[in-house]
Amino acid sequence: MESIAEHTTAKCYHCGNECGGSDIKIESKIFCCNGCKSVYEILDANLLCDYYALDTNNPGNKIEESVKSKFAFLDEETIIAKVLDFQEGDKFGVTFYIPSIHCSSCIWLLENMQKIHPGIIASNVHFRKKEINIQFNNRISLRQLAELLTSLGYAPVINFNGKEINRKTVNKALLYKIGIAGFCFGNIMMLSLPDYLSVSDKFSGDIKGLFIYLSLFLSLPVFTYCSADYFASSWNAIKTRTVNIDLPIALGVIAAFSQSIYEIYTGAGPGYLDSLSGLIFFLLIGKWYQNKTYEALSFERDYKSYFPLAVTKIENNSERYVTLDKLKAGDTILIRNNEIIPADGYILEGTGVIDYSFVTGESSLTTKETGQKVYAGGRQEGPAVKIITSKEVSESYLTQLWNKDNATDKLNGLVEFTNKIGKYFTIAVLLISLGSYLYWVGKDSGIALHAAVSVLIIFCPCIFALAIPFGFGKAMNILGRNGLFLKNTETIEKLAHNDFIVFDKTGTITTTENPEVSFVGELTNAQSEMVKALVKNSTHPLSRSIYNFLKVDSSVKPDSFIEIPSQGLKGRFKEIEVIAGTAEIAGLNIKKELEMVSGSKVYVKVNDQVKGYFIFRNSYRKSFEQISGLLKKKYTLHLLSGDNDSERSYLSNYFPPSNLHFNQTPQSKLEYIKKLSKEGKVMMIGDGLNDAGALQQSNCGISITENCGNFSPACDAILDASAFSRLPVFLKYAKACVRSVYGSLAISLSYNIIGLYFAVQGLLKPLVAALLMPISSVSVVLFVTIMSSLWAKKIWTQIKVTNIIFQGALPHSSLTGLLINLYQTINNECTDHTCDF
Amino acid sequence: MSVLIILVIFSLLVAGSFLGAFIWAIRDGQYDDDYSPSVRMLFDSKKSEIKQKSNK
Repeated sequence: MESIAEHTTAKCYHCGNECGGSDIKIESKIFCCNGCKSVYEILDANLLCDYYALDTNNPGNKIEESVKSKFAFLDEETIIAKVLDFQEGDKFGVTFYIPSIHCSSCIWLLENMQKIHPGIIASNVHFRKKEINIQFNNRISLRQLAELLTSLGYAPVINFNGKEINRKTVNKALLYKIGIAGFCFGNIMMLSLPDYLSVSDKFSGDIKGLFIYLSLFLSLPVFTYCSADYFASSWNAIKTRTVNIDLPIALGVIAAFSQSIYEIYTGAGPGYLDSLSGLIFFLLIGKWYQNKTYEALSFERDYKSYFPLAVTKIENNSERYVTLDKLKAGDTILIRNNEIIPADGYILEGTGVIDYSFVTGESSLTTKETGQKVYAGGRQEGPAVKIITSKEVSESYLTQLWNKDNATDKLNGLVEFTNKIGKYFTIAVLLISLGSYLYWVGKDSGIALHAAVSVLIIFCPCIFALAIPFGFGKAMNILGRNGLFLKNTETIEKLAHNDFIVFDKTGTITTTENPEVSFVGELTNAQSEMVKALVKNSTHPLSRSIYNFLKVDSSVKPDSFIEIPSQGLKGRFKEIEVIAGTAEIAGLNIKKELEMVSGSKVYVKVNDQVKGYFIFRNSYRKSFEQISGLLKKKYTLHLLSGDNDSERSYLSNYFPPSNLHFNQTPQSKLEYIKKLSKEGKVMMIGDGLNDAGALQQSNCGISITENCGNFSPACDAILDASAFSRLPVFLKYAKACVRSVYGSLAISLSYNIIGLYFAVQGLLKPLVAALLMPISSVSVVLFVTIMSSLWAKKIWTQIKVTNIIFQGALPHSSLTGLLINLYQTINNECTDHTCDF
Repeated sequence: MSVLIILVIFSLLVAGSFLGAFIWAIRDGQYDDDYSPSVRMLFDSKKSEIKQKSNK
């Protein structure tokens, strides 16, 4: 909205947000709210103001209003034991997940925590995981520690999932294997040199023998330790009577190793030990590259990572914190302001003002009176309410939907292409091997076995083991830098092949940021001025929107002013009392009308006279019109909305009218996707918990989020809302990448055919294998990596016309450029995108 | 030519020590977080300097 740009005022010294005419100041430094100011005061008092100097882009996090009792459950002994990492005497260790860690200043401040509180001994930040490990003593309690972090803008997220969350450690075993395989490969290569240089005659037999036996000794760890995963995986495949892509690899490794032992034993030659260890080394690197995913993002989140760890239970008139797994149906629980309702139930006492935005994407609040049913997942925005639970946490409406094993008919990890072609590939290898054995067995039984084994050795499924990890890995990295974070490399294929795109409405194609404001009723200029002066004092998002909406210059100041949380504002200007807030605070009882118009409302009352109301509607994302036009050409678009059909006529411009579905429940969304899946591949784009089932049911579920650190339901990919406009580019790019991997299939097949030409004739020499294997591996890897970059560049230039910036494309066209890029790919791909989190 | 044997064994020992160092580094957690240490080393610990400034 332009109006915001026009009203740009000074930026907050702490968080960099616009202050909106705030007059909270210390010396010359302006702050947007008291929260930011108090952080500055803490830092100033502890001589930690370097914080602001390290990162010039105002490193602070905006301080959200939080309730004092938010971490009260950390006083409970049983819960403390669950949260703590270790406890030795009066020394404790704890690891918190803090989503708001985002820059180097954050690391600096969090690692200097011991200067703020003497109870903290040391702290250590893990930036990628957004975790902090703190050691502290009994001068500070766990609760105080969590509250201290919160007061600095680094609120830890402690949830039901407890320690399981974000404990993806770097796969150390894989790194060990790569190191060992590389070491053995290099040394075996060196030791095999005399054999290839035909200097063997001059060598005495002793030295030659020593070299061969040393090679054999070095290849033992490669065969037993480094390739163990391939054996295990193919053994599992055999047990379940399926064929997987690790099977030909395992067979090839076994064949090469036994052939080598046989040749060394009979003195026929050095065998294929160098090719074998080289192959394993390359394959492991491919695997490592493929496993590089986004540590800080979680794609597997279920309800457990959304719900808090504990809830206040009321028993015999006393309050006590219990962990959610101990909560039973029929328990009475107390939900305070800003707490999440963990289980379905009925309101026993108080009024529920519930924010279901995480569930539905709708930002307006729902009011529930005593006796009415509330669903798990909502957040209470008002005074505490007592709720009697009707179901256990895991049986609540939404969590149950989530728990349903919707993924059963999805292929387990393997993508269709890999699965289908990989199967034929494996069968082909076995058939050719068997065929060449049968061909030779009548003529020369010695050659027969050699030929059959050679086929297994030379046939390398580089396409699967190398082309996909490197090609898709590179693509995943480029997409990540542009705001689409994939769960794994296989998601590229899921992105590429779809027939239908199903959108959720609220929160997906509409945005909660910059709502459209309009005023219904009449306000005089003087009244507008007063309202503007009133909302100036509030940090509530609706107040900010009203402030920006009212174009009058406000020179008046309220004589008295109070803010009633989640109700509204009251102010007195001399004789005139102005109220802005909910219908309740305005003294109105107009529930029927509320149902008619969707969106939040703020009523204005001047001296007992209601003047009208501001209405806020979620606006459509600016780029929606453009991208729906682009997507319409290739896909059939559908819309599933939980709202009523008041926007039907508007949306018919973008969707075929028969594909517009309103008043959808989470369950019916899931069913719709299921039905559609029978006709073709479905991509679902949604955001809230209510889409969780549909996201899982679809071929490719994309969850859209305004902030990547926020909670998002389980999905295949997370799309940063700011990158929404790039969606058509992403889809096009994914298609191009899949095509380039298909292209590499041709390359790898041509190498395999050359190898087979020697192998089936029983002519395979170790030298041929030793040459062919690295050449084919390296050329396939180069091909797909370069292609992925070139496509990014090409699509980027195409799209530049439409003013969508696509970063991370390869800017070089020369060979040096390609090599630089390849180097960067392998080395530092993760450093670029992290700042965007 | 038998000097080759000594050389080969020596080269294996050298290479092996590098492998050992690599494994040590993995075990030590050097590959766990490849971002924070690079930032951390750039932080100055100019405590005294700041104190002087604030006293002025």
